[in-house]
Amino acid sequence: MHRLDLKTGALVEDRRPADHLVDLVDGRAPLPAPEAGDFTLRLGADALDEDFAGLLDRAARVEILARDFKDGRVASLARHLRRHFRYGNEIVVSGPLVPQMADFLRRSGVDAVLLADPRPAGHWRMVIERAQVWFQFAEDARPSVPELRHGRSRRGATT
Amino acid sequence: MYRPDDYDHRLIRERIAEFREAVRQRLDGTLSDEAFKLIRQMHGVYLQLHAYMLRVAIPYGTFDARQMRALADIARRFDRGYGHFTTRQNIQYNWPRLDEIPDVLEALAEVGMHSIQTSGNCIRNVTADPFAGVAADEAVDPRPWAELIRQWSSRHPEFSFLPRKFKIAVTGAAQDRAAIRFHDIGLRFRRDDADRVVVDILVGGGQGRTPMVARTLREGVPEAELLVWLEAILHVYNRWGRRDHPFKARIKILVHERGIDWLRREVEARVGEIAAGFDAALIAEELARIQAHFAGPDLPPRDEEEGGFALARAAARSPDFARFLRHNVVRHRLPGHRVVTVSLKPPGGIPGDISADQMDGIARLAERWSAGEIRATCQQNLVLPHVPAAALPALWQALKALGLHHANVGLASDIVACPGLDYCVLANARSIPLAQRISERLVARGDEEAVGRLAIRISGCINACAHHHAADIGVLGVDRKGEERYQLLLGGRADEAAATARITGPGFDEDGIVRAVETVVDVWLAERREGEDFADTCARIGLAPFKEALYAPA
Repeated sequence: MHRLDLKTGALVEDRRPADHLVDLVDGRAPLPAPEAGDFTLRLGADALDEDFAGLLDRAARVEILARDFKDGRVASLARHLRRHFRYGNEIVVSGPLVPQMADFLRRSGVDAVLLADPRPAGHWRMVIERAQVWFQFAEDARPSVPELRHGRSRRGATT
Repeated sequence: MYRPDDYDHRLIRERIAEFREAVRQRLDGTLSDEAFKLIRQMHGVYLQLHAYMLRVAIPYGTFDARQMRALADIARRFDRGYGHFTTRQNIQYNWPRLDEIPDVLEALAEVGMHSIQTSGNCIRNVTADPFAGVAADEAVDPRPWAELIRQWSSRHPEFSFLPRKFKIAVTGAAQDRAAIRFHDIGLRFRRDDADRVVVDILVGGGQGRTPMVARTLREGVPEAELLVWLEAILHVYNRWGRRDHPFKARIKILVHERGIDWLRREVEARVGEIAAGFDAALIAEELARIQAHFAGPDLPPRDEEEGGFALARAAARSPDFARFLRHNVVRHRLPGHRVVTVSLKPPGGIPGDISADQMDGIARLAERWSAGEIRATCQQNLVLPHVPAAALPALWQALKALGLHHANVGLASDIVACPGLDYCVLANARSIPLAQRISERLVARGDEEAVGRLAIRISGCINACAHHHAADIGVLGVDRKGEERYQLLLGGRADEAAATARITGPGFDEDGIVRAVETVVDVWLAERREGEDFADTCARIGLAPFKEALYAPA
């Protein structure tokens, strides 16, 4: 897999040790021993709070799996992690994604996407670079139009 | 009305650049049809039966003469010389060439218009009472909030890939002319006992395969909290709305399956944390900025009595003008002014269609007599909202010259119809020719005024774009083994007493449904009591008398 950083556009090979993965997708949850240290927590887009809330404090990274390219739940789950759980570590999204999601995911608090095929990375970067106008308060540090119109600084950003 | 600023224009330009690039890639084969579909839907471009169709947003139905001229120019340069006003305050072009659509979008951008979010599973064009800001029964002009919602929902990072499309309607009047109870979210703005603006939030209305009337989620929400509540509702819907089947994916199904109390609890649980990320003072400042755009034109004072006399004299001289006054004209909130609805339903005509020359003509009349302002209605008509009463005779003559003087607003020939099988890839049956035939038939009876207000709506498929569930007489096109058939529904209404129409029984062929509609009218005339509207009669007597007449052995 390749990790595309939604902030910088950098593409690197994603190295994720298999024994440091807690995969809750499809209900599989082999909980690691405390001495195993940090791990990646893999969630389906339909994950229930009660299934993962107790694991977040040890999760160095949360990976959200999109079912298909129209699966907008990934954005809401990412915002929920940032807003409700105040989750401050890395959030990545994997699955059959399309570049048109790039800026939406970034604004929803997602740091990176995992791409099986790195070839569309350029398209992802183009989408990220093109988007410059946002009307909403969101989860990244870039100001919204209301803030710019009224000369306010960003508040409430978590990443 | 709202004037876009540099930020609004920049967003539109960003999107045009994206679409132009996507069209280029699609035409040179580097972008697959499936990938292009996602992008074109984000720009309101559909692939219809014969050609691409472009749907242009008219936010909350308010636009101006300059924009109307641009729409006329586009109809001439890029289409076949006409446009089609829809039931959601949009205008559609049915024949643009794909390679020219980016240029159409550039032409729209010149006048601050666009097609963003007129398609796809996102928050669509916010619709409003077409008389907003001028209605005599209005407590609050809802358009500043509608504009705030438009901006908040434009390319919302969390809500651009919803389970299904999402529609919001607003009103601030006693009479619901925006059908808020048939929307995913309906918002009613009012003033509370302390004269503060508050909002009643209704959720889960809709039509389509499973028509439902919206339920009240919360009453009296302070205006400053509106966006927080909307964000919470959409967040819950986006996470938990069904995605396993498009027919089950609207928020009405979520409300139906889990209950309004469940939704209320989930939303309330999110409101606090969402509010923490909102700058309420900033939103108030932004709302004030937007509200300044809706102060309304500086209309010169008019003498109501003088205007009234002028109208009475003109009406006495011309029965046709008198009829126009009765059906197409209502009082303005300011004395001496009137609100004029321009019918796009000539007898036997295509509902909602308007030629480029007529668009230019309306623009001219708006500039001369309506402070340049125009409205599009959800009934596929237009409104000139600020006409001096004394100018109405001259306006009527000018409308006659344009062929837009038909005095039938709210009457039986003011038929709402979707594009149907003449254009739409989803349709089972034709809607437009049927609307034309029914209109001709009912007008030919010569008793249209005696029949009175009657809402007939014709949808070519279960998606209900003509809102047939909310009609007095609804017609639904169905496919029966390759044959176009039509089901008949009676007794729906979209106002404060919203109710869904009920199917009468077996469907009809085209000739049969034309006869059936006339039969229903005859039964109603025989059964109705003084002052009773159609839905009242249906509620009182039920469908049995209608069925008896409709399905009686020949």
